[in-house]
Amino acid sequence: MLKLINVSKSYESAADIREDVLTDINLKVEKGKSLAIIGPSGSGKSTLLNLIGALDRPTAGSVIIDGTDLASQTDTQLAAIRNKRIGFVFQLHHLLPQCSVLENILLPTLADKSSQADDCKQRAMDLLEQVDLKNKMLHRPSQLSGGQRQRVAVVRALINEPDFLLADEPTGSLDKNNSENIAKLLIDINQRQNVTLIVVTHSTQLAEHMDEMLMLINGKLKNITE
Amino acid sequence: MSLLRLIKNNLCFYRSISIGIFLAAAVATAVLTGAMLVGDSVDQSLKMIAASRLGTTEFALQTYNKPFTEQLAANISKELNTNSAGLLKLNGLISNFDGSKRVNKVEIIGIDNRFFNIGSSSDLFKNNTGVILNTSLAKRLGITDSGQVLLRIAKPSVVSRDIPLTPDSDLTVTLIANVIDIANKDQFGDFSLLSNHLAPLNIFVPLKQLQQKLDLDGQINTILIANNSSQSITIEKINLALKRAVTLNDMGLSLKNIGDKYIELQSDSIFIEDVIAAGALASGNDPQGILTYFVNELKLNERSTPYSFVSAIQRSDGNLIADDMSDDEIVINRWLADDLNAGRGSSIELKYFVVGSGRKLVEKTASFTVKDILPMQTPGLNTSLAPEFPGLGDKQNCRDWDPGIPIDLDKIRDKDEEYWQQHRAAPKALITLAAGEKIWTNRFGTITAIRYPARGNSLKDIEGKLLSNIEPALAGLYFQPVKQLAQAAYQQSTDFGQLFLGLSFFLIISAAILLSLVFTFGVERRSIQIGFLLATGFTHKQIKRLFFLEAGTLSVFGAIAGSVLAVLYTKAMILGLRTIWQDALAGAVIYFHANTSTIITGAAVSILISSVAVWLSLRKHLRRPARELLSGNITDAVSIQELTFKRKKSLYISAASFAGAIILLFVFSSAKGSAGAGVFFVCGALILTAAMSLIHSFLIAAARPSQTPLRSTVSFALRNASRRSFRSLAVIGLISIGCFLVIATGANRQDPTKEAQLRSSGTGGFSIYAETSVPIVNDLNTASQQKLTGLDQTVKFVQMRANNGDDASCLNLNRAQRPRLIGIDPADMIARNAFTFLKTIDENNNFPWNILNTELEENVIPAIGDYATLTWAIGKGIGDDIDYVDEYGKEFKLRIVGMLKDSVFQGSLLINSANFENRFPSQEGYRVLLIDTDAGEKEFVMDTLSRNLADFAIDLSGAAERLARFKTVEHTYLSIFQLLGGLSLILGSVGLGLVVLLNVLDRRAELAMVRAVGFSTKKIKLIVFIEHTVLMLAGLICGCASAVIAVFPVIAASASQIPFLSLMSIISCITASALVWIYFATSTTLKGPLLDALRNE
Repeated sequence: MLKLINVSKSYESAADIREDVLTDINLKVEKGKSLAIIGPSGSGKSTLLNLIGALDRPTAGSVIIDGTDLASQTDTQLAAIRNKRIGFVFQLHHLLPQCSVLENILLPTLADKSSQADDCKQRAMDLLEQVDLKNKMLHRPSQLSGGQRQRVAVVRALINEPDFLLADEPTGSLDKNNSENIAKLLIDINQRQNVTLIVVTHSTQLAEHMDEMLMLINGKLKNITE
Repeated sequence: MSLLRLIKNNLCFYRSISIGIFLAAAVATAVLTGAMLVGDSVDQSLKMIAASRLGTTEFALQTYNKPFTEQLAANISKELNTNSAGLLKLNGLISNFDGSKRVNKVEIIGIDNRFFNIGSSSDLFKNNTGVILNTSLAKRLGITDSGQVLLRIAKPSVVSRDIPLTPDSDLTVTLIANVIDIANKDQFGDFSLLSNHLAPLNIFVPLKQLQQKLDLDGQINTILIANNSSQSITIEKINLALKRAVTLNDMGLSLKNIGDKYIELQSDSIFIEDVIAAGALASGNDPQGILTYFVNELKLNERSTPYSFVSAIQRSDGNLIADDMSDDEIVINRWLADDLNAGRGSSIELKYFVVGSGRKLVEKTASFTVKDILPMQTPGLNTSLAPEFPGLGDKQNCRDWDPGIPIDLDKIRDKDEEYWQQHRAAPKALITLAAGEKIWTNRFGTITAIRYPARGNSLKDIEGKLLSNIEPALAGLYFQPVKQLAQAAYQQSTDFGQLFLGLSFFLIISAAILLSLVFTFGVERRSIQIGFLLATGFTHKQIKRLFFLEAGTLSVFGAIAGSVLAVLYTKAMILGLRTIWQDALAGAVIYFHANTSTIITGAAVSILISSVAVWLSLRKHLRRPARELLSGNITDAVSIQELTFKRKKSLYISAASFAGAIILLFVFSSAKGSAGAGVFFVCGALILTAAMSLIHSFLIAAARPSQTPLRSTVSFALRNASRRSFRSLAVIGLISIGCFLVIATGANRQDPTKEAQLRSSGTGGFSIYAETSVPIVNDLNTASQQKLTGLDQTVKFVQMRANNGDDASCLNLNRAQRPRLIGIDPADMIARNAFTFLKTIDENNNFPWNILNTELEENVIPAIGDYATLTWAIGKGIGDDIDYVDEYGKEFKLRIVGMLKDSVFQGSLLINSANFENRFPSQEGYRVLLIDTDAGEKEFVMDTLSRNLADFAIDLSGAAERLARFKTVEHTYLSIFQLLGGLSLILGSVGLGLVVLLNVLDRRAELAMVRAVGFSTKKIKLIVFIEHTVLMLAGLICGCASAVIAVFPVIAASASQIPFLSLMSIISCITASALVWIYFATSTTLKGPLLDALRNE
């Protein structure tokens, strides 16, 4: 379970002016649930996702994953959490152009020495099969379409069997068809693998598929599921 | 997927970055290792030169004017069971037979087959008659295989020609010979006992032939000894063997019976040296010293007796003088009494010459009261009391006398001839030995014979005691460990590896900066990837390791490639040192040599430097948070507070570095030599750091948000330049380093011939400097010698003695172990106020040359050297001591009491002539001359002396030209330094081009936007051009200003000699080249449609 308790985040700009991006955010997400966070541009959605994904630390409040307050974790422990328990999908796929599809998927396993190479490889191929890209596993990203690249990015996020899948505008760079495909894929993963899915998106179509919808406005969250 | 796989993928995909890092690492390695390999090559070459000079020789004995028997060498060799060779080694000159070429300073060496054994070479004579030249000499004469040559050989004289009684003629012998072979260094042709790296000019003559020519049958003056197979011979053992083998004859002494009453010890050099006399007087019972002198006149009132011998003997010889005879009394023979009409109590005046410098004769008088008159038949009062003075003893008639002193033959009467016929050199008068020593004592000795009463002494016993009591070293017979000295000379020589490393230091730093620049660009390009890796769970440490391994792999491969390049770089450097820079090594031939350990060390250090550069670059980047990296929006934007802090920090660093540099410059402005070079480098680095920090603060200020919006293209360009401060600083740094090197080295060039006519200059105001191989014994300033020189009294000579020491000038790569000594009369220099002292041990002395007369502790002699000799060749400073050995094998110390500004004396140390004569009495005559003449007459004087003093093998050069030759070495190093500075500038230009490329690539989207809002491509190019020109100008100003400050002491001291024009030309070329690079890079990178960059990928 994910809990955010009175989480706030502010930054100091170059002009030495303090900007409050998030204010007193409280959130609870049960395991296996899906959540969409929507809001206008610059509202702090990505910031919120970064806090949940242990990529950043809140200025105030706590981010608790299964009872573990992320604030009490060291950088190394946070990295381990990101590696093992969280999978990220970004708007831009961030696939390494110098690695093949299979290599890109296996990249997160390099961060953990205890990963078994053979098991990981098998899992990667299984996942690729699920997204219909097994025949492209030796291709480079430049040889794939935009939708294919994003599917690879999703598979990469799942290689370590995370508890959470965090997606930041996963369809933001895709056309309508591909967007739909990705949206279906994410929902499918959530439902079949019981991975808690949190999506930041502009797309109401994608958001509507989630169990819960929250709007981030003026640094505060509002439930707009109904 | 593995880490290794990822690294390989990364390196291949980002190959342009990989190649850039690889090349930068290769360049750094090539330069670093190459510099060290130059050192290896020079070291090995000097070692080879030393080996070729000595062959298997480990010990050597050399006398100068005191030949000894060949048997001595044979006996020592037999006792030690080792190889030896006896040589007759002399100075002289050689010309080819038609006289078209003449070479002075030639070593004429009489050898036999044992010489080639020692040299591990085959006998080149093979029983043929003729002479052999070594390669250097053959080249100078233009002889390729055979030819006829004429030798003029300095004849050794056992009796010092400084004694006026000896004739000053017959100084040389001539030999015409056919050249039958040319000996190269492998054939022991370059044999030399001196620690000079340049090949000597040797001619080898069959020993017997040379001995016969010089009337020295069976005699030699040099012994070479090799060590035995077990290497057990030590210097102590060999000198002991020498003591056992030496004879009186070898020491120039002889014992003979004088009737049945006395056994007499005489010396071949007429006077028995005091050090030998002391031992002789302790041998045998009741020894008696005798001093017989040739006086000009004995006078009583109007009557006088010319040219007679007078003996001074000890009172205890009761036969001739009474025990109670006082030192002011004289005993005369009947003949003299009659001639002068003298009786007991008469006062007789003696007139006699004493020796001044240059055989100058000063006539003195002494008066004695007649105590007794001896009958002519008095036993013992005969010619045996007098030694055989050359030019006198062997003549039948007085009128045939040919001594070195002037004789007025008109004064010789018939009765004098009769006396000579009957009594020869029998003394006409006797005084006490004490009186004789008082008036006739000289540096050659105070006794001409020692007599031992025959009763109580046997000749054999006395001989045994003499050999026991007189150390051979006192007769100049002692061995020196020449191999050990040679090893020390090349081991202590200038470390060329370090020198070139120092010269290349900035070039290596430039390569490291370039590597850092390229690497940083690579990291920046992969910022999003880094952010993603962090998001995926990689720790900072893992990412650092990944990039480190990538860069490390490239550095290792770069180091390997660089090591190969280093060999080429070194060979190119050596080719340069053999050709255009041959003056740096004074023409020495250096061979390439590489130690494996050097290559490995160079590669390792280069990898370390690359790693440091990578680490510094990485450190800054990985501090950024993952979200910033993921956004792809890398900016240097920080809070105003932080900007202010950074700016202050830069200003503090700038101020501190500048202050440090100024302090160093002024506190250590007098530092010379390697300390001075170190101060220069540190100052340079500090000033560059100060300048760069100052520029950094300007960049920060330019980057700060401003109330005033940009109003012009130029201000827009300036604002752009401040964006990527590291890149901007890197390129400014590269250009300023190159500029600094070029300007600073250029400013250090001085023309030594400017103001050379001044007394204060390095020439001492003298026009001509000369050296002779055959010593000139007379004073060339006297009227009689003006006939010899063919010049009048307007030409003045300062004549100095010199020994055969190591060349301690910058023309000798080896460290001089026993530098050549020149004996100088300080008064000659004081009278002219000649030369300038940089420092002396007594700064309060208004006449610094007088410090040469200072009395120091026992066995310590004051010496002066010039700056280059002391600093670079010997590595000593004021107050330091140098160990030396005199002619008697006795150790003493030279204490450095004064340092001259760069002078014509470079290569030698100066001591006062009195000390020189005491320590090296057999070094007769003068071999170094400084000549005063009008500047307009210089060529005429040189031609005249070259002709008239040809028999002395005189080598003449303009004093200013001699200084210039020494300066050439220094200037050559500066040229090398400038070249390396130029290479730094090339790297700087490459860096500049690279930065243009990176900046434009980085900002393609931004530039496209600028185009979209209405800027023409031409204007955009102008903005980019200005932006980078500003960086280039900043680098130039930084480099020039730093250089000016670093060499300010030099500028202040000799502004008139700074080649401003040439430096301005260099700066102009640098500027033009950089502008070309900027223009080229700008045009290339801004080609093609920019608007594509506005679209997403």
